[in-house]
Amino acid sequence: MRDDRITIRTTQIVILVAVLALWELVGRLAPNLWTSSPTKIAAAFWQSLLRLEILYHTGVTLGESLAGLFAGAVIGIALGLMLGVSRIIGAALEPFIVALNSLPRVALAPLIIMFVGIGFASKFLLSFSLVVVPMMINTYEGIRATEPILVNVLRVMRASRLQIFLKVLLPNCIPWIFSGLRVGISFAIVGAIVGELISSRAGIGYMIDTAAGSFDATGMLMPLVVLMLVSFVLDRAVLHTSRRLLRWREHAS
Amino acid sequence: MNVEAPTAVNAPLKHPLAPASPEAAVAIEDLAFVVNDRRGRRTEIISGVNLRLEDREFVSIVGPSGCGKSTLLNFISGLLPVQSGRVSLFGEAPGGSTSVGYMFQQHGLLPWRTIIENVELGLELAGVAKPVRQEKAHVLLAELGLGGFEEHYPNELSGGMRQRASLARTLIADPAIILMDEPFGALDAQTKVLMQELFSRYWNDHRKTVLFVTHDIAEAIALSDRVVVMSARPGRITAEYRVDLERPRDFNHLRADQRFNALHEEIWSEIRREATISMRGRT
Repeated sequence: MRDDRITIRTTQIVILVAVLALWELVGRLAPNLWTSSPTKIAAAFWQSLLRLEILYHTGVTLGESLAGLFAGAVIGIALGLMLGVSRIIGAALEPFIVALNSLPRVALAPLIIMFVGIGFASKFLLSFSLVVVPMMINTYEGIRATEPILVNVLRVMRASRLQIFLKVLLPNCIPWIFSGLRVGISFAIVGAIVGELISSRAGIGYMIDTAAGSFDATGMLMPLVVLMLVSFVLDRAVLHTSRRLLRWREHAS
Repeated sequence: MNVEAPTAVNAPLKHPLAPASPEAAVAIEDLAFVVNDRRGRRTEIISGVNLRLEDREFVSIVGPSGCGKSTLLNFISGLLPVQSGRVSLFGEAPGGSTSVGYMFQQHGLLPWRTIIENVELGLELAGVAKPVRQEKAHVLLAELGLGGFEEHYPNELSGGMRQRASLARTLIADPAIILMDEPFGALDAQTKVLMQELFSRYWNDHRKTVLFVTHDIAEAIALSDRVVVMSARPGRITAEYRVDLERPRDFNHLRADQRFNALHEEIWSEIRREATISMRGRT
């Protein structure tokens, strides 16, 4: 186990270094408009950091997506629980949920911007609309996937409906909610970025759009790399929390 | 305790004021259950079942799979509402004041709860204070050989240990009637025998009313006061055997006992006869 871990880490570092080196090499040997290079990106990042630009724009995008993620998760979980608990509502609404889920919600962006303008609200709503449906579906599935025997065990013990919900259905959803959250993070960021790309005055999408106007590959890639790192850290944080909370799922070594 | 297999005469410990007409722990009268299958055909799952369990009696039901044994337990536990016929527990309908423990073939432990939290569940639902239920759970887990595993999660334990935890969870609320649906059926042969011995010892010490469903005839004889044979669909009771083996029973030497083997042979030929009839009926 220990040895495997070291091998995996080493491989990861080798891949990272190799890709960066290759990129740098191409950027230097064949200078062109569109490849940029890791060193150019690093330099641009440093410049941007000195002017606090990147911090500001990352903050804007992160604020929009986290607000969308939070609201989407809360509403999505609540709806999912409602659908899961009531057999009739769940069955009645199922086709609508599936239809809603297959709708490419990013395409709603122009409509949303038309409704609420180009400020925070449009990005927040777009993030929210992307997050809420998978959160709802995951929670709903978490309830439906509950093994009937677990419910029967409690029913024999004369548990009330509320007790069955609190002690069986809800805990059974937790792993599903966490996997929904992990998907939700990237969805939320996609929502915010798409909104910004279409029209905005700030945010990572705005930076990219501005740089694109002047054919500045480095200026487009740098904020993307920053955003990628930030969302990677967020995902790790959720993963770590879920591992801690779901210790019971791990097998004895 | 040095009690013979309880009969109607020495049974009514629960109702000392009315020894003349002791109420059966479980009384099933003319119970039938019909379901409509997917194609809308009526299927009789069980039909005309009459069964009476005295207080503190250990009765096993054996029979081919699909004969409605589990259905019967679901009626007694109150999981299924009675469709036709009558079920009463100490004179009351299921779901009344008589506490029932039900142990399934699958352990049904909540995977996110530790063993002790799982065992405490019944008391927790009933609102028993935490220190009290923890104390009880500790004692019971120790009695069932799970001392030291209180803080483990179910998937950290072996199949036999999980089933013991499930047994502990069933027993903790001290139910008057214990229903068991092939509780040791999924265990390997050695673990199974150890579980049977463990439960037999527990029963000797605590004497509960037990209805035990199994398809293992040897298991039924070894544990019970009485063995009831059920036929295949529609499930009905076709024969009944009293087990006159003294307790406590020595599981190591049971198979060498003449009476054990004679009874085993007798029950087996009854089941085979029933199975042959129903197989002929189908073709």
